[in-house]
Amino acid sequence: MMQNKYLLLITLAFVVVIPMFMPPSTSAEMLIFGIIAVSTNIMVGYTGMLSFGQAAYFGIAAYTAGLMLKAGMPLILAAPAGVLLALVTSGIVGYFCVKRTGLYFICLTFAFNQMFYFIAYVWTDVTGGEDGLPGIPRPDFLNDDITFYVFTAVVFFACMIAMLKIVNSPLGLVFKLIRENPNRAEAIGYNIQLFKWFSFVIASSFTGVAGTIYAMVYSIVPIDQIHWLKSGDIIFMLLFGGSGSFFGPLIGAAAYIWMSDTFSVIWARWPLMMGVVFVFVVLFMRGGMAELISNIYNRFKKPNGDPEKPDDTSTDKPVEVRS
Amino acid sequence: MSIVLSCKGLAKTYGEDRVVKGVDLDVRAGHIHSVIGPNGAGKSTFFNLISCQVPKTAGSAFFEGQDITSVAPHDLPHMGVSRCFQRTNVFPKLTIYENVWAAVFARMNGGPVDFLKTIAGFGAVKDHAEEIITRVGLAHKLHDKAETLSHGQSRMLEVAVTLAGVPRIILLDEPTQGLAPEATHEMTDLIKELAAEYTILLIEHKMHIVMGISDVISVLNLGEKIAEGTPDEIQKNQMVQDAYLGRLR
Ligand SMILES: Nc1ncnc2c1ncn2[C@@H]1O[C@H](COP(=O)(O)OP(=O)(O)O)[C@@H](O)[C@H]1O
Ligand SMILES: [Mg+2]
Repeated sequence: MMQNKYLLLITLAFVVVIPMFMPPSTSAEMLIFGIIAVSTNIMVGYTGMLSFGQAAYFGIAAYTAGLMLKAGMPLILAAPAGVLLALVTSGIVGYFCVKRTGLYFICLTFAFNQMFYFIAYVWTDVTGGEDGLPGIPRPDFLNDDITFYVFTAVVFFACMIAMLKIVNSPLGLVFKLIRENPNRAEAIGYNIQLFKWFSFVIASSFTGVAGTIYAMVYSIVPIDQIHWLKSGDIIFMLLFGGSGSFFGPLIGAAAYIWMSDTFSVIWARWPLMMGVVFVFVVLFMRGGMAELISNIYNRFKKPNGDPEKPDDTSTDKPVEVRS
Repeated sequence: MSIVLSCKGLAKTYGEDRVVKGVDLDVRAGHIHSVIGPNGAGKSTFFNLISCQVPKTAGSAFFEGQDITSVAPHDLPHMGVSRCFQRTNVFPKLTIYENVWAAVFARMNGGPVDFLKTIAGFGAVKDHAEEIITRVGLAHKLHDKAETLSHGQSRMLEVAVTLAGVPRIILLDEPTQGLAPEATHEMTDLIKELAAEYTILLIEHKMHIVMGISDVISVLNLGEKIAEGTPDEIQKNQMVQDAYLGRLR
């Protein structure tokens, strides 16, 4: 827990520093994808359920909030409605998905994502189809980009603290039991399908929170935000940052936004680069950046500590996705 | 003494293979009731039927009057039935404490809201978990990960997780499997001790172990119960001797 407090402080420092190097809207995007990456990791890293469909709930919340804001409704209504819709749809989708495990689970999440994408694609009257949903107004008090960034940061920290609480609660422990050994988790009396469903819905709802804010960043929801490729990008963030720690995915999210922001303007084929990085991480850095950093940190710290005992004995953490 | 667990015609067929062929078995309260038999006799499968791990082909098992073969596996501990597994089946990346804590909490939580509180806030769960861990002799390993335990210690953790479910009957599947003589001794002592508090259904392959501690022994061979009685009666039984020497195969 102590360690988490330090990491939360480091995160705070980054949140303050980022806008000094980047446009405020790009910085806000980093935080938004940070929420998505960490929340998806509750499901992937903590519970051991690899979902390739999280963009669906991001998109659903973004469209819902965007449409309501466009209709002139206040944020105080639009934001909860976006989250609620992400919660309800993930509740329905999750009900079917948690009945399956492994590859079948992944395929189901993927298939549902595709379904929502096609709905958004053909329902042009509402979603704007291929062109995306433009012209989303921000509430007056958020018109200034810096104010908007501060608002995003506040929501970001609220989400981080809430999610930290969840993974350190008995609920979070049950998630880890399911990842470690679903059969025994059931044998000691936990209804694992129910808890997997909770994990699914919690992860997707926080992703929904991110979606509602995203709608206001550039005042548009492009259709690729609900495409399954975006779901793949989210998994990239987890693997790159390290799904083995709570904060690791944040590194992945920041790196992803930074890369897409920097390289997309100079080279249209920039996703190729991401592919190369991905291959490198999977082959040589299985624990992601988080593991790399903690290894370096431990190497410097070791001489003072007890050399027999590894520093990293805390178990309030998820486990990397390994295949 | 009253019968707490009563199996009637419990059977399991895998394809053509009749692994358990309609077993009747009554366990009395407070007894150590052992099920012995050669490897492949169907003992573990019999246990899996009682504990809803595999769907039965026929028959039923009543615990305190309730049929436990048609409930969901996660309901079983809440009915007072707790089992351990032949192959150690715990949570390797979690600590000994978390392993046991989680099993205690499964039974001792006060409803959904408790799942969102902090783990440190449950004093009674903590005390019970620590008491069990001490009892199986793993107190010095409290915050080590389960995967770091030796085989003998893993078997003890397996039993600890089973006890943590606050059971009224415990089903032990070969708890001494693969243990060195010293550790086997510790485990049998523990089972004897537990018998004062729980009804125990014990699967054991090694005959000499059950002879000393059992009240009743049932012998399974090729999926059938071929004998039942006190250790003395079983020891004298010719059919049992034959089964163990493989002459019935
Ligand atoms: N899932 C299964 N599918 C097919 N056959 C099985 C399965 N599980 C067990 N068996 C067979 O059932 C028989 C009894 O196994 P088991 O109950 O493990 O015996 P024991 O515990 O007495 O050694 C064995 O011949 C085994 O091969
Ligand atoms: Mg067996």
